[in-house]
Amino acid sequence: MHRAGAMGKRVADRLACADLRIEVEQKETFDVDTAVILKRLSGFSPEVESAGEDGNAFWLNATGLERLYGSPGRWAEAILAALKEMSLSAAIVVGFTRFGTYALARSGQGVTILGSPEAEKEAVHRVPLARLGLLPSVRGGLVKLGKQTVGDLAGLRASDLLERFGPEAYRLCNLARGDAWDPLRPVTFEEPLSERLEWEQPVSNTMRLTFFAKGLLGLLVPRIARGSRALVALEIGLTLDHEDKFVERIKPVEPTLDEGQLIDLVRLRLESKRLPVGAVEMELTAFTVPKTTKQLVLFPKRPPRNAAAAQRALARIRAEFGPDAVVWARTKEGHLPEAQFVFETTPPLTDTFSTRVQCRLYDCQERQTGRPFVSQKPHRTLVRRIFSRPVPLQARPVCGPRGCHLLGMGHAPFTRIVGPYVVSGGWWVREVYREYHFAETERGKIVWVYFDKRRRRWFVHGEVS
Amino acid sequence: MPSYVPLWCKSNFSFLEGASHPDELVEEAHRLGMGSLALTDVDGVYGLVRAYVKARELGIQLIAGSEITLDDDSTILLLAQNAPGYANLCRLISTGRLRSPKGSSKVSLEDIGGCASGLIALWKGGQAVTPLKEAFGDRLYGVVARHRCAEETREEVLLKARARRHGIPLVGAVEVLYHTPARRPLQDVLTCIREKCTVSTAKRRIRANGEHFLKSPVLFEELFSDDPDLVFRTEEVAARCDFSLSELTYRYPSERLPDQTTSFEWLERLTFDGAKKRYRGSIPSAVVRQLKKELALIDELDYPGYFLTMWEIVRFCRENGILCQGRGSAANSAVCYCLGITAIDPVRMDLLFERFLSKERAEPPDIDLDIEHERREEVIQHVYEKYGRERAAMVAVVIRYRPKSAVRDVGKALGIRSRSCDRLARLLSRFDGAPDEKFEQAGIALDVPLHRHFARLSQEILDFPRHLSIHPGGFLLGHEPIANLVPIENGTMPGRTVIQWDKNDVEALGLFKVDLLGLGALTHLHLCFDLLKNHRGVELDMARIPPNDPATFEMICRAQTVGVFQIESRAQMAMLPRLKPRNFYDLVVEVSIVRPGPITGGMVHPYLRRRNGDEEVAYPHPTLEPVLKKTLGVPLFQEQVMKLAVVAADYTPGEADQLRRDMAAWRKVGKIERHRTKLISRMEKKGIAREFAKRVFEQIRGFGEYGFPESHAASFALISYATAWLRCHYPAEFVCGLLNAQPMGFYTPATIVEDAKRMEVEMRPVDVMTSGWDCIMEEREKGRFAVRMGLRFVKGVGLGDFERIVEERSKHDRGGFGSIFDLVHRTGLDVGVLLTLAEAGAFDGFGLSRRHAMWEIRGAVRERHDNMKLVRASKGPEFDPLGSFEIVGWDYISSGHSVRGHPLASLRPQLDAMGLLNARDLRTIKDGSRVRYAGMVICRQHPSTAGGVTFMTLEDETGFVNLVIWKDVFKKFEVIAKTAPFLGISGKIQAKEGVVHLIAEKFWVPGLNLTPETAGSRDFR
Repeated sequence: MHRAGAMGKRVADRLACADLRIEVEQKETFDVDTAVILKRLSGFSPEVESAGEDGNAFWLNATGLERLYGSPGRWAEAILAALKEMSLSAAIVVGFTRFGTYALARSGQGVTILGSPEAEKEAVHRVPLARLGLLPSVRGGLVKLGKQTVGDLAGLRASDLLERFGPEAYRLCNLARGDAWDPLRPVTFEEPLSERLEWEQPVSNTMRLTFFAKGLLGLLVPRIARGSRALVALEIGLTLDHEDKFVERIKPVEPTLDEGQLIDLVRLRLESKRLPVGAVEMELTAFTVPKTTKQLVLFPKRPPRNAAAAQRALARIRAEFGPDAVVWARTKEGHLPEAQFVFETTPPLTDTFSTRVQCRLYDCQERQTGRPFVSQKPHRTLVRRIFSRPVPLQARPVCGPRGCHLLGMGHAPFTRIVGPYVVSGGWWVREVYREYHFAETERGKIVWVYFDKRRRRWFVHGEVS
Repeated sequence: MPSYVPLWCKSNFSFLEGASHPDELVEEAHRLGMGSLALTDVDGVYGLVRAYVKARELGIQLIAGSEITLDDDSTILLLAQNAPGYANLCRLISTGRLRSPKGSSKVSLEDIGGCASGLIALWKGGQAVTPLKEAFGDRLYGVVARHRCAEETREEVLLKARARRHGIPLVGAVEVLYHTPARRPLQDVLTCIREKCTVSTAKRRIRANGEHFLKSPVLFEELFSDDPDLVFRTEEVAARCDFSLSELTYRYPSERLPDQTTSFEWLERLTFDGAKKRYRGSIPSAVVRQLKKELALIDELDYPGYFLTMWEIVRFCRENGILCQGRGSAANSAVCYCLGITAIDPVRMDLLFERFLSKERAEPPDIDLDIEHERREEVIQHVYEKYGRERAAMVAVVIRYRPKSAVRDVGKALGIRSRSCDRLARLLSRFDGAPDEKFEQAGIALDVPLHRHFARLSQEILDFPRHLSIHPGGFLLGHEPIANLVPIENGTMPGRTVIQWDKNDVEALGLFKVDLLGLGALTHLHLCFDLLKNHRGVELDMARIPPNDPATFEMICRAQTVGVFQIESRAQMAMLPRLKPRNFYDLVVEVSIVRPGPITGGMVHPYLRRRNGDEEVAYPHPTLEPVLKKTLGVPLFQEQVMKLAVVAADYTPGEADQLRRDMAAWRKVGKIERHRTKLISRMEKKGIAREFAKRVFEQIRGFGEYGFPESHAASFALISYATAWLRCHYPAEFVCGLLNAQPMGFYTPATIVEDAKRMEVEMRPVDVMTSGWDCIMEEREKGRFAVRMGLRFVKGVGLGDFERIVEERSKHDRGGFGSIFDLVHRTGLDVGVLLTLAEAGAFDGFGLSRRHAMWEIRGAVRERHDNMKLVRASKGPEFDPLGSFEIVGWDYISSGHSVRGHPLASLRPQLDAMGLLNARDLRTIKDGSRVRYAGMVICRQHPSTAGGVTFMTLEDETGFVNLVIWKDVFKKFEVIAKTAPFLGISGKIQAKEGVVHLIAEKFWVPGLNLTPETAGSRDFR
């Protein structure tokens, strides 16, 4: 099964099983996770395998299931219907060998039920090699020899093919001849761990909720530890009294089993939220990963700054103000001021972090100093603060005896305007033409304004201080 | 009135940076009322001549300069003050170019210091100022560049501070990249092409705004309103530069003559010695007169050195067994004939010398020398050796954007899907531009704004220089080092140096150019002569081929001319049965009549009617009879048009030559019109009727630049006759030589092989045991030879692979190889090469089918490095045998041809069942019949002179079928007609004078259960 990452991508899914085999082909266009399909298919057989190499194929062991469904055909139809509900379409083959069902599913449609191993073999031998996803060089070489089908391939000696066309052709030949057999390798499903607590009277006090959470964590953490895993995220679910469910997720800096750290983050998050009504149920769900062990360093070199402490501090800020509270401005190459940087979630901190920030500030100062400002006072540091969105001004500035009232009559007039500095481009999508000016009021305030030629309007884009 | 001089202008010869042609910049400067402009392309003067020609025409001063790149990637502007300064600039650029990889140039401050004399430097603040100040003194200026970018302000402050400290005056400038703001998008696209990115990912690689246009004086003054001195000083700098390209002094290299003989005396002696040989000791008095007249003119114009150079090159060729022959107007010269440069006797053929050289023409003669193409490099290296790298360099060819490359590069820069661009490119022809309807046809909807930009920019970029290449054989030779005239740079090909100007630039400045052109037909002839000598002991050369052979002309009249030089094209083949050449002069006419000049001038049909006696031969005036007699009263050659003007309108020979030049240029500038009144009134004065005079003028105008000079046609006709004679009498040698001279000519090897089979030449397939690299001749019986195809035709087999086969083949006691295993193990060839050889049937000699051979090869390759090989116990598996269709198909896939059959031969029963005729039967169908036909497309032609008619040649196992496709039919079926290699046609037969055409009405793809392999078509204008 492909992880359909892009909208509009055609995803072809196939599914088959070891004794009773299925192949699923999805013809719709949407985003479906392999895990979701595996989960769905697990409802039809306790043993489901996803083909690693061909992500679109699945095998299900249906031994004995015909009793449950009446016949292999009904079982296959039920799977087909279930997949259709997921907007998937499929080719399902119920047969006897792993390769036979796979090959037939790749070359067929709908449901195929094979009555006997012989019938399966006969059908498989008619499958064109072109349907089996062989490397083009291997397939081309075989076609040149007049070997077009699985049956043709099975007529050759596998060892000869290994010599001439490599392991892929060798394996295929052995599979076609029935000389190779692999047992089904079913997947196991990992469930997130959770603990619940209900109250008869709604609870809205944050402190109480935090203490309840602490109790649940005390149950959860040992369970996680027993599985040699560590917690990477904790979901706090509160069922509110006659209201929707309240769900928040917190993430520690790194996978952890440290209850103290976790409860601190839970507290910060709960304190930052105001519940409309009291909660009647709390459920903590832990998402885990296998625990890693680090080699202890005998003589650790102490870094000049404690990055771990900084990380913990940032995690606390995120817990208190939300995941987007901490961002990092990354510079970008662009001509428009707003295209010269982007706010991103902070990367892991390193010891050189603050140095980099400092460099960037220095660079900004260099760029931001316009001609007259620098030339007159070279040691004066000017900082330009860019507005996240330019503020539109009146269409036409009013010019009075003391200067130009670009910001409106309520503000001081500009006595000095430097510019224009022109930024234009984007003609291939949406043309932009801005004439930037530094404008200084009689009170010494400097604003950074531009005239948008296309919209025929003035905007303030920042202030210089 | 404000005024200034733009001192920093880059044309589109700053490759993929500037977005205006040099002449556009000059024109715009003139329009804006400027008196001067400096052209400062990056590390070169590529566009200088074009700008100079336009500036001369408009009367404005052009300052020669360049933006020079230094080691640290900073740049400095240098402007030539005077001729020594210009020479220094060229030398400096040459230094940088020659020491850097192709396409780049780097010089040091020391290099600049060494060439500073006569140059003004405009310093942008990027380099250490002290050495520059020392080198340039008061000729160093700081350049304050403003483009309304905030970042510039800080740099300007620093520059001003440094300039003040060192006492350097400042001058204002804008870096001009285009003449009008409308070119800004194109400049962005060019930048993206250069930087290999798209406009949306280019970010700061494209300019921040569109302020790089040529500003009017008012705008420029406004830009520098805070410091007017910066504006005034541009004029001060311009005033200090008074160099013009017209000052270039050029001397052709003189021959070094040890015995104090002058060049002229030496030339005279050689000419008369040659004349004695040509005329077997008795030089006719007319020839002597002509030689003396020519020599006097050559001496007067100081051209002896040029003729001696050409003579020396020809002598080198002769001494080294390289076939060569002068072409073009040089064949009008008796001196060239006697020196052995040309092969046509101009006196006997009454050719006009003034077409070659005249006093009125202030330009050097142009001698083009055809050399057999496979040995041209030897001659080129000889010229380098003789004159030295300093005094000899090859002329450049500017590779420009054509429709296909334009849509591909612009599309990529705009982020259009490459599949769409490729589809569009396939629909475009070289000459029709990139019209909007082609975009629609390619599925690129022009209602999408981005697509509209795509269409507009693809059109705008056409003819823009892309990069520089080397002219196939044009040399500039100089008495002084060439680098004083024009910068020299490295060519892509090792051992080549190239100047920064192309042949038009060289001609515009009146410099001497030596053209050494490669001609495949001469290689073909040479190979045939060698084969005749080696296999039959027949010693032959061009001079010894029996003239006026009736059998040869019979063959030519039947249009059996595949592979015959100049008369093998579809159009020529259609003309041959009508013109029926019976002697050499008919062949001269044949060569020149199928040309756009005579066709558009409406001369072809009158000539044919008169030749066939359907129309009386009449002359408008008795004085014109001598001029037009040879061509039955119809002017067919350039010389005739010139003579017509001389005789009928009393033009001097020089005026007549000017008429020829104006004919060549009339389409562009309408210069021919100035001759209208002069010609008509003078003819009237001589008693020629006004109506006829007008008609003559119209003919001259129609003749345009496309007519051949008679001398040129005669030179070519000699080669045509020689190749035709060989085809007629020695077809095996002819075919073998032709295949070995590939690539050349009009047809693919597949078509040549099919034609050979029709000539009953036995063609044998490639065989690893016997084939050579080239095709070889194998004796079938006494005096009868078959042609064995060479391994060079098997795709993917290189010369190195072949040499390994031959080396091992010759080692074996019994000759050849014992088995495929033996061959695989001993040659060590790559498995891909071996499999292709097997696919081509080159292992058939081992008695194995191709599939078995491939199976064995794969096994043997695996065992090649196995020291403990196992003995193979069993026979290999069974494989289905290939059918005849598959065999031929495999031949085409692996080697582009098949000697075993034609791809359509095994499909014939199916085609017959569909009621489709073959080419042979089609020739017997009567005029006007409606037929259906299917064949493989081997040639498409869309001549500009045919009023939108397209011609196609299709082939089947029985021969060719020529299609005529009217404009509306072609438009309707354009996509299929242009792209399908195997086509079905419904249409009407047109059979006239032994020439059969199929007039296409409908195209379709034949519904066969098999698709034949083809060798592709060769498409021409």
